[in-house]
Amino acid sequence: MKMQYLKGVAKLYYYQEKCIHCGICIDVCPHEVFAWQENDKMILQDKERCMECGACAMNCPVDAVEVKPGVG
Amino acid sequence: MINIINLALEDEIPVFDIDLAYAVNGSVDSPAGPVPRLNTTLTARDYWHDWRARWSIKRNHFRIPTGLYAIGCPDEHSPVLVTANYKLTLDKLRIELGGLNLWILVIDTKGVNVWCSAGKGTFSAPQIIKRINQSGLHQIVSHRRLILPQLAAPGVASQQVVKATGFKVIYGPIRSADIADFLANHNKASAAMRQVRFNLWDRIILTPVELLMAVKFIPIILLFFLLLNVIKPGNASWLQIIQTAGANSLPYLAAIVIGSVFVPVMLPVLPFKSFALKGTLAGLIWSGLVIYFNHTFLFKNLYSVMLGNSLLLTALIAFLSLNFTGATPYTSFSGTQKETLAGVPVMAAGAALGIILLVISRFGWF
Repeated sequence: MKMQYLKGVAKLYYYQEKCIHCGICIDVCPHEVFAWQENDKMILQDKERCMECGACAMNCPVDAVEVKPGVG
Repeated sequence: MINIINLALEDEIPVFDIDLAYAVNGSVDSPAGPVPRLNTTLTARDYWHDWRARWSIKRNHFRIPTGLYAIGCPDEHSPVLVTANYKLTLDKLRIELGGLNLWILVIDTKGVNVWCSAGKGTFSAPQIIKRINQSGLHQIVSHRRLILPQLAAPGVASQQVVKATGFKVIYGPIRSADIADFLANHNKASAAMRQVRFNLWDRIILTPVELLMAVKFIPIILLFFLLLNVIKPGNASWLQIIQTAGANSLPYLAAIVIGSVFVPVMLPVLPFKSFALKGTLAGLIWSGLVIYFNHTFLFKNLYSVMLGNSLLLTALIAFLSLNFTGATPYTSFSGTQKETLAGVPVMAAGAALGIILLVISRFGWF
């Protein structure tokens, strides 16, 4: 069962221009926030399911993802 | 046997190898010396200790010595799994590894599970690097791959590990039950293996700790109703006062169970996304029942009593429900912060008004 928490609060930022489409964020995300689009391109599929665990940002080799829980 | 484990004893923290001694079954020779081999079945004592940990008994002393362990008869080509030094975590892992040959590198996470220690930053790249170097892993295996639990990812900058040691980090599945399939599938995890779940049983096993944290309200509740019933006691005897206070407290003991067990278990069924609102709804329903059965709990038939108790009960259940956001695997910090900042002042105001109404009720005005 997929549970959904409050919407519009997650502080997750994806900078597509920096992304090298390595897919590590897809591997580490426990909630399928990121996904492959056709042509092996990464997309931010479902930001609302982000729980700000920070796994994607920690493992992104080019800082194309940022998670800033509790800021702003 | 215990001596072997002592070789890997962490220097600065107390580690209770007694917890692990009976999980060790001989040792395996390696170029870096003997490596203790772990059983892949649990003994009654393991189950008993794991059950105790779920009830928070000695949970914070449930650490095992760091270092390298063997499963089966691993060699230089065998995979290396990395895990936390929480005994419950290691037990959940090793029971899934029967029939496999591999190495397990246990790092120092201060006795905390994988996900929480990753979040706290103790399951980290520097810690992994330290343990790789200490264990002599470079001599023991010829490949340069580490399999980490996926939920370690929030704490581990994987590029740092490869830069410092040459070991490439591969994120394995979330659940230890999927490891055998993951290995058989050439280190590929299916989409389902990468998704965290929070089903009924996952929630149920968290409730003992929630309940124990909520139990601390009980003396306060008992004392409150005792003091309340001492105000204008009329010709009630001390025994009657104590009886009334006890009966008055019963709905609150039930409220503790509702907030810390019922709401977590019924989480997906209760409407609203906000935990505070889920709890408010449960609180209002329970208040309605308490009002309906007010004679059972020796409450007086006064509006001030009904309203005061409703406010206090609902505030308590809403507070405990909100508290459960800290235990789920899907609530974001920003979301929890939002509902805490909005909800807690309302709960505090409701509880304060409830107390005032109950005090006023002693004078029997309304």
